[in-house]
Amino acid sequence: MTRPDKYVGKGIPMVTAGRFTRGMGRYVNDLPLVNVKHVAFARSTEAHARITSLDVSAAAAHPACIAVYTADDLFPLLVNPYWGGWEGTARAEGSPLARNKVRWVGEPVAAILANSRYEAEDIAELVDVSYEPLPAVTDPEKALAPDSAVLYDEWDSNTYFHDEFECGDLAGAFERADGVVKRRFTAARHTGTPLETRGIVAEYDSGLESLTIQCNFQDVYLARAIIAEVLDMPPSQVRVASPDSGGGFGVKLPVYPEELAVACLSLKERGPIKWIQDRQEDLIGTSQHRDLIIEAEAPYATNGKMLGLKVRIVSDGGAYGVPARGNTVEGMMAAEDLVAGGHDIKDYAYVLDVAMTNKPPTCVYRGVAQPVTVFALDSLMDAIAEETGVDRGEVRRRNLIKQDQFPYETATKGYVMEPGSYEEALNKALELVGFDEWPEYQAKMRTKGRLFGLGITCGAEAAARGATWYGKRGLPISGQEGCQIKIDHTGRVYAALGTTTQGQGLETSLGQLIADELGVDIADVRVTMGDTDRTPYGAGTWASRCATLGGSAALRASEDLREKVLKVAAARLEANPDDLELADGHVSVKGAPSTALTLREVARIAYFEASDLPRDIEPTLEAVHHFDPPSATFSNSTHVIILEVDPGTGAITFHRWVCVHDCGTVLNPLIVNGQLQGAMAQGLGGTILEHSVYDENGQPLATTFMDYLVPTSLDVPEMELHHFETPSPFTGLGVKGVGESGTVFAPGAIATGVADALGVHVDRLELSPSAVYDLLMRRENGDAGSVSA
Amino acid sequence: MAPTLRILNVNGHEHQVNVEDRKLLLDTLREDLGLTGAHAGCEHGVCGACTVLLNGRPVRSCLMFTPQAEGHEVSTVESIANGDELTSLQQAFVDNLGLQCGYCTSGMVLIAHAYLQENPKPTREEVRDAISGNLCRCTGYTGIVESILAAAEAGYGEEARAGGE
Repeated sequence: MTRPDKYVGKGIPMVTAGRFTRGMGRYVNDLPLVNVKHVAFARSTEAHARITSLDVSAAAAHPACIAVYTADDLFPLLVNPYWGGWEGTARAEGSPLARNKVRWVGEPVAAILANSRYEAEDIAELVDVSYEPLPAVTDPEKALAPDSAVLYDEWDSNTYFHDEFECGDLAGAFERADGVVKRRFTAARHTGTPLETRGIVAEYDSGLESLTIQCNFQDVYLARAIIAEVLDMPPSQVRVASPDSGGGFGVKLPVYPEELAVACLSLKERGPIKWIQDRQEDLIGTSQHRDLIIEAEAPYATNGKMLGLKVRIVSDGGAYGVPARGNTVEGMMAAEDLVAGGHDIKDYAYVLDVAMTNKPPTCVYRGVAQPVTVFALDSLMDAIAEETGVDRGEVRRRNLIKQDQFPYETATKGYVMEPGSYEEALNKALELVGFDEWPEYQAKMRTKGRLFGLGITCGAEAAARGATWYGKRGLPISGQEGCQIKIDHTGRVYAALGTTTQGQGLETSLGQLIADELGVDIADVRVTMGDTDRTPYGAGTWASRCATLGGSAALRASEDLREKVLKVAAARLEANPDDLELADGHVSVKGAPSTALTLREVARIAYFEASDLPRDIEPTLEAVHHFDPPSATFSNSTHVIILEVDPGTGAITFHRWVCVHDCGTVLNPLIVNGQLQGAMAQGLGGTILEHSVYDENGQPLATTFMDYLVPTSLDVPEMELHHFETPSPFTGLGVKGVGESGTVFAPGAIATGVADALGVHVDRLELSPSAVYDLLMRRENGDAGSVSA
Repeated sequence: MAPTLRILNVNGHEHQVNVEDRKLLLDTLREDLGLTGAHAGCEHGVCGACTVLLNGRPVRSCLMFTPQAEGHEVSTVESIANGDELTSLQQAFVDNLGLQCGYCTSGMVLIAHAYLQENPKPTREEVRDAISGNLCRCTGYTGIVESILAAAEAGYGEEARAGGE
């Protein structure tokens, strides 16, 4: 490929893609290992029970058994068994293996080591556990009731976290209002299901007293912090590295009990230990998501403006506090992001409760709470439109932050939002689907017995949060990202970042940026990531942050390195660095291109002929920069969906799905569109197909891909993507986050579309055909009001 | 369970493996033959990440025991490229962002390889139908569909068919 003038902005194919098409990915399960022992876990079959006896004698007697471990063996290794860690949360003792009590079906009770996974699983079946069942707590609202069974014996209720907040003049807003809409929104549970499950190899070297963890974690430095703290090891003696990862989407951010158990086992066994999760273990034991209830009251004026917002939020946190990431994150973000979503709401109050229940913990997954807050806000907009008679597009226009209000400080936490293209994106999306002609079209289709609906969501995705969100809450989670760039002695470039890769194409988009800055061919830029021994400190891959924050760090490190190159070249050329330029692999005197050095020659001087250089120039070509954003970035989007509901089955057919997006400067449109399409498909899945269903006894009912339905190529429609580019003043090159946005805005667009098709309120994000059919029946029975499927 | 010596024909070569009869073909390919291109995604036949070709037709290697592959020609994704050189199908996956994390890619490439030989000039809908048994969690399928259509346009199906004869 000939080198373009500029790589940034071009749809350069992913530089890493070729090897994956040849089966040459190197995932954690592909690592060549010697003398490795395999783990299988015996798991709880009860949702809530006391362990009355745990007999591992038959397991230990199996000829293939290397060892059996229980909590009695591992718990003493832990110096800090209290997990979660958010300020204000109740202290919940955690253990890699259940101790005295089990709190969800699938909780690891014993770990078996054997020379193969087959044998380890055989032996796990021989572990004999007796339980005294306790009432299962599965509903978060009932969990908070005084008569509920309590998960943690030392607590007097299941309240894990409670918070209240009020700002502005909410009472005044209610007084000024022409009306108030009151609605209750709920969101079902689902999970991330990356196609590659979790997996870890831990190896303790008793000579070096060091622990090496290879794991598909999304945040290697957080994992290192947690593992080092829990095991009381110096972090510098723990190396965490992420090989290729087959998707993450948030669920590979936490350090779970199994990963901690494997780390402990490695310390005990003094050698490599491997655990690869199977799909059933994933569907019952990886963190799950949403499971939120938002009760909202919104005062409004007759012109369609929402004057304030008052909410009560209940979040189902599940059974234990996930180390560091916690299980308050869905609730906290719901509470804060309702008024950080691009709408001008300053008078606001929330009451938040996070309840512990006998289900896996809820934690971070693509979009975190925002798919639910967007669904709630856009449903409220539609309710106001219905009450006031102002059209649905116009209500949204009146509530979005106006261009002259930027920079806009949000009511919660004081995020400073940069300008976007809020109204333009909305207008463009509505125009593309023919919004003005919509009522007529919908009516025409109704006369033919066809139920067409138009759904709209619009607003901002809060991304790339800096230190203010987690770090200031006492957690070892960074907001920054670091990038180190070196030019080797042949003039080729190597960049290292603390982010990890799950297919976001960062090696390419950051390679483009670095290649542009250093004037080299992208083929000569190698980007590596995610290894605490080899890559600079950073917070890893989540919150749509990598291109934004890693890109900002890479840009500044490139700028510093470029200066260094010019300094070295200036010494040799006896020129002023300001008179030099770096382009096309050469440093030349501006206006006199014949006086030039190749980058290779400059590198040679820096490394091997430094004696010729002034003493204040270091004899190397490298630079490192760490970037922490001032608050967060806010990309904006509008989704408009035209869908049809089958009156016989409740199934949804998508006719159009328009997304108008603005993530600031687009580094690589191929990758940005890929991120959007993939995220939209996940938003669709979580709304109409994927449900982590539990019965009243806390038994999981969706434990295989036959029950937990991930969208196929026949479920995901063609999507129409359009972009505005309003650069962010807060980041390098003006980039804003994009990775989660599709998932944030898809569910609400589907839900408001179904509501429009059926003429009912849709108050639950769970729109499987049977749920939609239920809505249809209620419509036929003349009940258009609040419907919880 | 005692291991048994089995002879497998994989990617045109005969291999002897000494494995338990219950060992899945997927695990034998990965652990005993070092062919890690086929991946475990669900181990119950839904996701297609473990797809290999048996006598040229796609099968789920997580649903086959190793002895069942004896006497058949097994091809894995590692056999598709010409040495280090990508085929036009693989190149199309690169050029059209037919993958992100790469975990489903082996299965998708093999499905497309087999399908385009059957139907060298498919419509978009036919491609969507052809890959509907293989899950991708990253792309939303758009890039994969585009990749397979581009490969079809470049004549991959006819070429592969001619090459296989």
